[in-house]
Amino acid sequence: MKKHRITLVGSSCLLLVFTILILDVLAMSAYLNAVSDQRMSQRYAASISAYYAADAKASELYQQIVKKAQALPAACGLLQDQGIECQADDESLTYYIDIDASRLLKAQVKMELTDKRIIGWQVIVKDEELDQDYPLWQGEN
Amino acid sequence: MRKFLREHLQLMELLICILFFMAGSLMAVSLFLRASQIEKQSQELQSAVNAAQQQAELLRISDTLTEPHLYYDASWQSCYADNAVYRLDISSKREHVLSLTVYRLIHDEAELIYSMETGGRL
Repeated sequence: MKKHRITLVGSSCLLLVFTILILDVLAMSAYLNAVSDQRMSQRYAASISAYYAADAKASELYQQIVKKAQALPAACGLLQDQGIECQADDESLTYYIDIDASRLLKAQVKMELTDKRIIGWQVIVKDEELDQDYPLWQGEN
Repeated sequence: MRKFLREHLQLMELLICILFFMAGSLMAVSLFLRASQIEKQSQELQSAVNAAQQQAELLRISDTLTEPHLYYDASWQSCYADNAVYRLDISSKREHVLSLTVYRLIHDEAELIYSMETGGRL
């Protein structure tokens, strides 16, 4: 009686190919994850730079124009001449510096006797839909 | 003749397997190395941004300018210039505006990582 021997031709090769493919998929996934992390940290750095650039500009304008002006409406006029959005009355002045496409730096200055005092230095969102107050629970029933 | 052919085919299969293994492993190793390098750069950038931001906030509340050069070791802890891996330079190019720049120190050269401008004390 003739015996038929079953041999798995190329099975080791297939196993190896499969293992290498899995290894390559994992490596590619690690690489894509690292690239995504890099993009995110670059975006974070750009956002921080944009905020501090606006902060620098707002400080510079405060020191050079607002602080030196006799009255706040006059300072507002000078700021508007430089293309800065500004609102002022005798007691307070508010001016806005663009941070990026979606954010503004809002600086508020108050006149106290003859001295000026910064009372607000905050980032606001340009888009009103994003800036709305959400009806969050305030801790009271 | 048939046996010779079979052995020849097995040898070919083995050779193809080895070549595929080499190519696949080379690709995987190079991708892992590149990923690790990119990850290191991202962490470095984030730490540089954090260090610069921390100094910018300190400069906002302090009356006097601190040291013009601040040195950090590999784990971003303050250290002396001799052991430094990173350096943060604080300079004032324009009046009322401070410039903060973070460099990686490699031998005698300084490679720029991050730079930003901020307003000084109001």
